[in-house]
Amino acid sequence: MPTPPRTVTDPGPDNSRVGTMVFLMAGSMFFAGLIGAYVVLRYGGPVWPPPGMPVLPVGLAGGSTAAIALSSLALRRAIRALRGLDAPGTRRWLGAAAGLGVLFLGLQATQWSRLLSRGLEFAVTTYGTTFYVLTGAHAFHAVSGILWLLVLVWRQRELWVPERRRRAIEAGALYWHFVGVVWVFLYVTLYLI
Amino acid sequence: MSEHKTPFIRKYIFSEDHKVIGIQFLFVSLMFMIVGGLLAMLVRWKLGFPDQPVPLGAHLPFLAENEGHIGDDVYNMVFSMHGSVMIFLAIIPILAGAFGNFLIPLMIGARDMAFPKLNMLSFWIAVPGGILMASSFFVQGGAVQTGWTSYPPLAAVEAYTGVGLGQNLWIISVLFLGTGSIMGAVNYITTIVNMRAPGMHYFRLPLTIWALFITAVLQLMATPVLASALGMLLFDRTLGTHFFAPTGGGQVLLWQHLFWFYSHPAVYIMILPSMGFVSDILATFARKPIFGYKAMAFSLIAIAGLGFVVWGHHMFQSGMNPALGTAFMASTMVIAVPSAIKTFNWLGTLWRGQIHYTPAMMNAMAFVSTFVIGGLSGIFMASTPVDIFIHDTYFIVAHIHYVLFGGTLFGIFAAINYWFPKMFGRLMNEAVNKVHFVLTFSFFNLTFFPMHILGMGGHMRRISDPNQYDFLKPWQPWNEFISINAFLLGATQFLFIANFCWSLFKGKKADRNPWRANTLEWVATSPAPHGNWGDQVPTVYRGPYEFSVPGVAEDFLPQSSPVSVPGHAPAGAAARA
Amino acid sequence: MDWLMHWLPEGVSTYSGTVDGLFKLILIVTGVAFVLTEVLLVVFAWIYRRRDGRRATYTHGNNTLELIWTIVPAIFLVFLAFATARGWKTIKGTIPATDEVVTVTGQQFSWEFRYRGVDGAFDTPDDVVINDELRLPVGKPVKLRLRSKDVIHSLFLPHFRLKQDAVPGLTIEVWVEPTKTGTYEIACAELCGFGHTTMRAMLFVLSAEEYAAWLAEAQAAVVPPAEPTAGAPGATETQQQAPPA
Ligand code: HEA
Ligand code: HEA
Ligand code: CUA
Ligand SMILES: [Cu+2]
Repeated sequence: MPTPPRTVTDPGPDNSRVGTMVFLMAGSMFFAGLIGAYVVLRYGGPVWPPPGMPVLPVGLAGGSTAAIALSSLALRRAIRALRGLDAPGTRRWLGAAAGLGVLFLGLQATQWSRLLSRGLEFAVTTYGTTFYVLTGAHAFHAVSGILWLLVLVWRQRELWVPERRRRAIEAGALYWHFVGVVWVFLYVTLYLI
Repeated sequence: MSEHKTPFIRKYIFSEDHKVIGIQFLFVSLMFMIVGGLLAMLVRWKLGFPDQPVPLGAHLPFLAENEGHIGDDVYNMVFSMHGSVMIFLAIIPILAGAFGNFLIPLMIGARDMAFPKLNMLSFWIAVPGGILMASSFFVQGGAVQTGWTSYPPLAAVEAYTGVGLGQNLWIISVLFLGTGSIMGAVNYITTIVNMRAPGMHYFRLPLTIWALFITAVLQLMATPVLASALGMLLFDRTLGTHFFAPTGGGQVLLWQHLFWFYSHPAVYIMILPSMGFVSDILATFARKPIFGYKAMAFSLIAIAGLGFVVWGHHMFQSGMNPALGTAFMASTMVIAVPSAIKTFNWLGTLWRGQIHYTPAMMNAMAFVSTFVIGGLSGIFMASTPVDIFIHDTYFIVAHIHYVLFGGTLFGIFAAINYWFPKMFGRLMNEAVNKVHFVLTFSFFNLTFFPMHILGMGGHMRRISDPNQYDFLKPWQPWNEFISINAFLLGATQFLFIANFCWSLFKGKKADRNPWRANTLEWVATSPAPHGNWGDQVPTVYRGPYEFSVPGVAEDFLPQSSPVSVPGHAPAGAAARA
Repeated sequence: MDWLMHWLPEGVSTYSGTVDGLFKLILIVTGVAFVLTEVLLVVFAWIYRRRDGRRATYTHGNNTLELIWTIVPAIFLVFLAFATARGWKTIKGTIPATDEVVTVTGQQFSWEFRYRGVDGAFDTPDDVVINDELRLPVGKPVKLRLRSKDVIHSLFLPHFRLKQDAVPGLTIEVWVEPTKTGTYEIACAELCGFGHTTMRAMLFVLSAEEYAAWLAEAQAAVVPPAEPTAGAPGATETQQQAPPA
């Protein structure tokens, strides 16, 4: 009898991690589609922003950027704690990340209401539409990410982290970092360029 | 694995078993294919016999008020839904949904998909998608009249077609189907990356799996872009935005770029799986290893990669910058190279084989012959100046059907013949399927080959009555000829439907490996049980195409068979390599 | 091959030969590929049908062959790409200098052809505007400026090998030089609604003198409307359902 071959895959492959990464590729393409549309509309049209339309608040959005960046950092700490088998630390840092995420959303909402009051309506110009659609689609992703984090915080009360939850946390972290990276892209394309 | 205690609803309706989900997809999509086929019959009636009412038309919705005649707006609806149903509800779900689900775990030696729940969800999100699309016939204003491509402004403003809710339902339906297909893709990729049986490294995967893997990557990367475009179109229609309306700063061509960025990769989504099936079936029934396995795998990757940079070849006449046209022309020409590699390797596989003429093999060989025709007509269209003339003519319609029917559907017929025993534990009746094959192949060519000639004559597509034009009047006899053959082609399909249904219950019982094939699915019982493999997942010792190995008595050598072959490296060593 | 080319409508523009020549070239190249592959398929299907006492040859492929059938088609395709690029440049490269200009506007479901009036400028009240009939002089390049009032249409002149979408929001310029007088049909080639099938127009190619005479007469016949309306497309009232702004 020949010797049994080497196993290619170990018995407990981390499907959730691979699956999340694969899913995030789809997510990136979704935003790529939206950003592509934005670029076509912006550079295909004559003036941007159209006359009479408010300029996007670079500073306020910078605050959002800071909030979501800090949130990602907090999440890194959570993962470090998780890998160091520090369950309470994991929970604390997850909470911090979620909190900063909520702050990010709050800043976004402030921005929208301020722009709306200055006359940047949703449907009138493509300038307004692309802005709300891009930031809105992003906020939608952020909300689901924050909910994910909050559920994890809520569930994580033991002094250890069960295997299933460990995977959920790792996957959630990947997702949340993705939300952050997308925001940075949006910040650069919408506000800075 | 307490199979006996699972209640009916969990076992057959909300099942998480990949095989059940695959078969669910198969049934539902075949139903939709019949719907799409019937719509095609209406198309052909109108073109062949524009002045006569459709038989029984007085009893059909939309036709009744017109004494059974197909009005121009109804004609638009009929071919738009024909294309949409065939593409979104029949072909893609059969290839990825049915065969992707059924085959991936079985052929890689896994017990199920990586995410069974997500898998179930991907089916149950496709179903409402299908229902929404079908129901659009019955709402105020009827179903879409804008082709399967739904170009705005026609599709963005209700007043231009009079279709309101129907168009919205179409958009939402495609969004649902797209979401389902992304979920499926995540599952397939994760499963193939993570859950292969011991010894199944990438270059031992059957080409079917390679093809389904690459297809999943295409679906994953392309569908989200379509989703974003569909969202914009829906916003334009319902919220008054101006993505595609020049009056508000929008760009009409933006839709075409986004749509074809998805839909060109989508046409490869619709052919690659069939290419995979055909590769496996040709090797099995020629009793020969596939010729150039690695070349076959790499050419799949090349087609997929290039598929993302050729979308502009649908837009040569759209007003896009002619210089961009040149770039897209060049990339389109290049994409024929990997297709050439595949074609010649299929021929190489047949060379000095021992060809067993089963219905599966006949359909697979028909795939090769008609795919070549469809592919070569693509070269005419890729040539920008030629495309000026043949764009939006029947030359394109001929191309579509040579690749999608001649290619994909023959591949699907082959695959159904081939895997039917594994799905249902019974064989289909061979004699009937041979007759079905011969008739389908003949009528197919008689229907669609003359369309090239119509296209050369300048016959536009998407028109309900070519006799409006003097220069097209001489083509009417051809249109009649095509229509008659199309009806015969449609009628022939009842043979297949009848055989399918009959064989489900009365077909000859199949043993595990009726075709004496090598891949893992033939190790499982027919039909395969829940969990696929009993106690022990199979171990893989060699590639999938070890047919007619010298020194082995049988003319096949399954991947899971631990025999060492005299004169070859011991199987264990090969596995370590 | 030539009998095959007769399926094409008679070509009557300066570049119809370019298009047809490329068609023929591709027909030859793909014809060879077609015959080669189909003949091999049929021959193999016959010779290598199953026979008792024979075994299939055990081979996994051949790298030389792989190389050959990668490189040979690639050479032909690169060649076709260059031929194509040249032809495309002839047609789309630069529009020959000409003073014959017609503005073509598509709308559901008719074609509007607009010539300059005596003032020599477009979009003024004295423009000559004719629906569904286009007149062009033979032997002279003409520039067509395509626009659309509502949805995408496509101006298709089969005998002239000209097809170009008319896209709302864009003005797209194409040119054509008829080589033969006569009456031809114009079609709309892009699905544009329930009247798409019937969006037909006529094209009369006239001799230079006839054309000049006709144009002069048409210009003289124009009665400028009492209160001048801006003649720009989009500004004119659309008879069909106007899109909600
Ligand atoms: C399964 C689906 C499928 C596949 C595989 C293809 C494959 C190809 N298609 Fe096709 N295509 C469609 C489905 C598909 N297409 C559909 C549905 C449309 C219409 C959409 C609509 O408007 O509704 C379309 C439209 C379409 C157009 C737009 C035409 C127009 O609207 O004006 C073009 C233009 O370039 C094109 C080109 C090609 C090319 C070059 C290939 C190549 O991949 C083909 C490569 C294969 C070969 C070339 C044959 C094998 C090779 C050899 C035997 C080697 C020797 C060959 C040479 C040396 C030339 N296709
Ligand atoms: C896979 C895709 C597919 C398939 C199979 C077909 C099949 C057919 N098509 Fe279709 N067609 C398209 C995709 C397809 N088509 C697309 C994308 C368009 C463009 C639409 C647009 O312009 O927007 C188009 C357009 C199109 C036109 C042009 C309309 C126009 O431009 O005005 C015409 C005209 O003749 C036509 C005819 C036919 C005919 C006669 C068939 C016949 O082959 C039909 C025969 C019947 C069947 C194939 C069904 C049989 C059923 C089964 C085999 C299932 C078995 C079931 C069980 C076992 C339970 N089609
Ligand atoms: Cu206008 Cu078709
Ligand atoms: Cu394409």
